[in-house]
Amino acid sequence: MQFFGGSEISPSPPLPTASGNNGHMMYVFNRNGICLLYREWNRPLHTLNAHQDHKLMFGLLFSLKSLTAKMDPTSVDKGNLGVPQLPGQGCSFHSFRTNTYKLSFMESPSGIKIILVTHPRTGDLRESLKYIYNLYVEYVVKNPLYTPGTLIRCDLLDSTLDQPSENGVFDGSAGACRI
Amino acid sequence: MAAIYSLYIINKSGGLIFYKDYGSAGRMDTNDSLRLASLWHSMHAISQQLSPVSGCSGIELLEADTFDLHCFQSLTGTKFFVVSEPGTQHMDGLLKHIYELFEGSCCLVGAMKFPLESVPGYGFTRGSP
Repeated sequence: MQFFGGSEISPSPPLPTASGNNGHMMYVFNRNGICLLYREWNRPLHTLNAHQDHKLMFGLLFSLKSLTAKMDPTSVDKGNLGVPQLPGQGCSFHSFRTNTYKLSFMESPSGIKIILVTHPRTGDLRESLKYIYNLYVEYVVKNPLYTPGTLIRCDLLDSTLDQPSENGVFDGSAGACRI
Repeated sequence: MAAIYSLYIINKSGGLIFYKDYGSAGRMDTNDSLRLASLWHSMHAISQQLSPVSGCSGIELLEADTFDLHCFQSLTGTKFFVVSEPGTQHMDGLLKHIYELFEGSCCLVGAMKFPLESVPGYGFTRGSP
């Protein structure tokens, strides 16, 4: 998986655009399935309670990764279905679309999974996901008071994520500006 | 030229009823294709539960690093999905065309033949006119 593609060490945030907020929800999971962050901006329908929703989301991603690794038409030797894949091992998906939403997914080499659920006609959000991962690294990982594996409580992160119209996070635009 | 790697048709219970490989690097044996088909059926259903708005009908397009998976679900619950090269166009039209061929040749005639057995969902008896 091309996680470190590009020449910059920390990818720059996308250019601000005039388009509004496309984002419905965002999840961040660690490699053990613990939901570190869940943000919701526009979700009229809640099918399950929060805990079950997180477990279902993580389970769906785990199974989809297993499915894409097995279904990969370009690799000759694939593992068995259901075997947990290491981050970066095997083919992984980066998004799927239904008629009502689009889910964009990124997994870091350390197993941190970032999920964005947006409007179905959103473009490619891989750059935005890398940007969010960078925010996670800067505001959470480098925070000496944060214990890995626990819920993220960071006002700076929340306020940055809540300004998508300024940062253009949810419309897939790419550009250059300072973090 | 963009290529199609394989085609799957699954019935409304999630059982694989047709699988054809058109050129992937590693061929899958029958058991694996059966497992993948039922796994896809389950993932398709779960994706509807995670929708933020009502009216979700399941995954239509899955984009991975080395392939795209396009899925079409008919009103009867039969799912047609095709594994293709990333960025292949007009797969929706192709799937609908396959659906028309499938419905025309297999269901309306009344006698159905599938490579794999067990079609309890359709209510036809084999050999009926």
